[in-house]
Amino acid sequence: MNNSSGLYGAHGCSEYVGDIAIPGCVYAFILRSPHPHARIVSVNLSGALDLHGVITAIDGTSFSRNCGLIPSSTDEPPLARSVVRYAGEPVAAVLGTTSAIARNGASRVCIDYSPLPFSPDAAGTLRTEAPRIHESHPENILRDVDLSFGPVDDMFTSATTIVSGTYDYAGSTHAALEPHGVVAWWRPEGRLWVFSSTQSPHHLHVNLARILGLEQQAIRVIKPRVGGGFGGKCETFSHEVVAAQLSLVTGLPVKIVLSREEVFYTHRGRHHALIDIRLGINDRRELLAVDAGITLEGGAYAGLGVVTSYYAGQFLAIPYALRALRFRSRRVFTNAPPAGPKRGHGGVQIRFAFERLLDTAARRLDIDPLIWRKSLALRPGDTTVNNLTIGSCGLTECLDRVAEASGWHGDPDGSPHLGVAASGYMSGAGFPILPNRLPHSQSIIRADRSGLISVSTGIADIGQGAENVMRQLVAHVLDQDPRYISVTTGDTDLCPVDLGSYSSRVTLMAGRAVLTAARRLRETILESAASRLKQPVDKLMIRRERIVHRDNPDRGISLRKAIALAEERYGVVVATGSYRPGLKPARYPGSALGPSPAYSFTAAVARVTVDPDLYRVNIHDLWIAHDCGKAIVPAAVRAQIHGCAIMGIGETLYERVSMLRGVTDPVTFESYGIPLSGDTPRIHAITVESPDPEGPLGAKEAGEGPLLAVIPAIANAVSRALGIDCNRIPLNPETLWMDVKQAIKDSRES
Amino acid sequence: MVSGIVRLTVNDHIVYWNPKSDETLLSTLRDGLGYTDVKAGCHEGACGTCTVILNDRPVPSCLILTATLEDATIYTWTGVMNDPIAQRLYSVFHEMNAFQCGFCENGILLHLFAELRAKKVLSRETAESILNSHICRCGGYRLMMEAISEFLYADE
Repeated sequence: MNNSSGLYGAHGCSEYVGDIAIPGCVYAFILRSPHPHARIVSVNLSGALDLHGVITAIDGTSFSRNCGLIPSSTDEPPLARSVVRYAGEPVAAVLGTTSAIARNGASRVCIDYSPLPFSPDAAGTLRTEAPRIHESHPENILRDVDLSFGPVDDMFTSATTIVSGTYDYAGSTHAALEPHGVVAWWRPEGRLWVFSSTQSPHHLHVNLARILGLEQQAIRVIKPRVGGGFGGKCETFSHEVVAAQLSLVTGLPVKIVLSREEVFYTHRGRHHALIDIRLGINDRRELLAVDAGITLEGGAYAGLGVVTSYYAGQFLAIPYALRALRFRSRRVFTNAPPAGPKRGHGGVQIRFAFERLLDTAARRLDIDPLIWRKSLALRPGDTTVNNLTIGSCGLTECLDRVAEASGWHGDPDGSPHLGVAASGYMSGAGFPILPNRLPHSQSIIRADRSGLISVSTGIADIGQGAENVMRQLVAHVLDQDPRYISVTTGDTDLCPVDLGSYSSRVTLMAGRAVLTAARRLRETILESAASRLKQPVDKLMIRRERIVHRDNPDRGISLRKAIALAEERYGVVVATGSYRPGLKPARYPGSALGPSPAYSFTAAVARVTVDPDLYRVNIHDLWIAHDCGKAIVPAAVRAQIHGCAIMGIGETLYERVSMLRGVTDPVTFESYGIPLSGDTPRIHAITVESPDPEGPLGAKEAGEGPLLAVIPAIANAVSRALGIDCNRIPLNPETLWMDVKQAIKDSRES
Repeated sequence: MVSGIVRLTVNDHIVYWNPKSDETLLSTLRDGLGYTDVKAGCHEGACGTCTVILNDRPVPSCLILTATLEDATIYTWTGVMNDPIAQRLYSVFHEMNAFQCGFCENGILLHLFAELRAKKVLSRETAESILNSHICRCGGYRLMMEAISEFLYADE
């Protein structure tokens, strides 16, 4: 299988949405609130409309329905109506013949605000006298999840060791290099075409229809090349709805590309999380029970926050066996840009807390934290206390591999210091965001007399190489040169539905749909060849683009000839495949959030030194072993592990979305602190394969899982290096210095 | 600030252009002249995606005002990508799967190419320092260095 090449993926001359040039295209500029919380007294668009070159201008009154994918929490108007709830919130939009004119026009829009009290953090909005952000939520809490599984109190009573900790995990943002953008075009024939930098063409399709009051079949969504997503392009955004509305009104193609500053306001990044965890352990050093309190700062709107609230608790149950679990997870409204799904959605913050706490416990029990983790790991076939079913699990092998590669069993306490952590993550959400019984992934595969195989599926390749995974699966079944397998994706007119690139679902779910279609196509082709070769079908096979007899591989016909025979016999040679997970939700509220057809597992070891004067962390090596089931494209799995390593380093050491007087700050790359090449340690990516019965050829995800273990592995190494508990992310010099000071104070007091 | 018509030679094509006083070279190339192979990531010189070769030197085009240029020679990635060195760079990076979303690619390859064309050699240290002036949010830095090693090894 020729699958190691990145030549099939995106390249620099690919067309991203900002590169699309439609003749007659006009440009919109979105005017944003300077206030973190204010009543809109009036919006006067006339100044803009008087400017030569301005075509039209709109405000929140143009829309009667809100953004938001989860039916119970559609609270975000495309343009603010009557109230703004965060600084940077879209309020009005001006359409001009050039982007400069649109921007000039926007500067002439007069908006009269009456500022309201605000709070950018949960400590502020949870106070009893706090300003109410949504009238519908008097306590400023979107969702308060309180779930308990197993005899939690009994387990704590019987525990011989109880450890607990308080953790603070800063919010961070995706900062994909390509800013979000859209071109919307209400075409003369009466259909709306929307080109967007999106991770889910399907959800954008459904949501646009609902918000704009159009029939779904009147809309075509096309995803061009996307310059990175990491979860930040999952939702339906103001700019997409605004461009579509402006095109509906004018009949012109309308383009919006966000500036970097606007991308920071659009956000949907990692929730700032405040976590308390208590862990009960018995004398055999088994984990008995976990009890966690989680506060998630959600920003001003719901977005996918309901999902985050559940994931944050549900994922406490993997990757270790627990007998009881209780969590209370509250997603709190704040006057800040909405938080949302960032790589490792919902799992990252609590995994950091849990893995830190395990190390604290290991130190107290005087046991090796890596060997202990091996003894705690879930096993294939396990069902967790909250009813997550584990198919395959290669975690113990992952731990063995990182231990061996890092020299863990040498002197883990010597300097530089080593830290270990483990994690598990979902390979696709078991239940759709919009409740229905339809397939999650579908595929059509077609062959014709030219010999070309064409696959279409609605997946969204956002740089992770998903298209090539589909190509290689087909190449595997049909033994065809991958060059001659054409993959069409991300176009709702041309492709059958796939739900999109989120929850690490594409390899498994779309992979299963494509694999099914390819196998059916193979049957059709083999049947036609069988009749020509006068051989039973089961005696034939495809080998190196030929249909040959199993016992006599020299006899046969070319694949191209066989396809032509099939075309002669049946007409169009086509097959389809679809996939829907066969999971049944358990009987508790929220039980649909967390279950996945398969789980990936990761172990990571970090080797660090910490400058004792400047508290600057230097990561020398990262060993990451990831169980992806089966690596369909090994080079892409490796690239994903590297990507998780570097994104993990950024989150652990530098990145933080913070607010200054209610306004997001920083809003530039320069001040935000994205890791550069010079910040990168040696990365040792190790692929572990424990094929999952549910995955295509056994494959599970690789795009998100590796991130979860990286962050606590670094934090555990830094904690060992400093001899204290480093429980606050990011581990920047300021935080570490305060942690050390606090530890000194605590030791004096005790 | 200088205003008036400037003469630019972009990828060997001569263009006379009348920029606005605050117009960046990035905007001239992308929005004015249609060179969309020059990508826009941050408009503040931090990400390196908009790198072009200006009078033989790699620069972030978002930090250059077009009106300040006089008879400038500019190459974008598409202007050099048929050069054998550029082709080899492209191949090793893609074979290593060093790029994922591809958005940083043209800036990085063009920057490395400019160094190779100017100095004829590329040390690992120089390559590291060039990479350090670009953002790859997909995190391909180590894979890129492997690709560069491969490129240099093949050269020896």
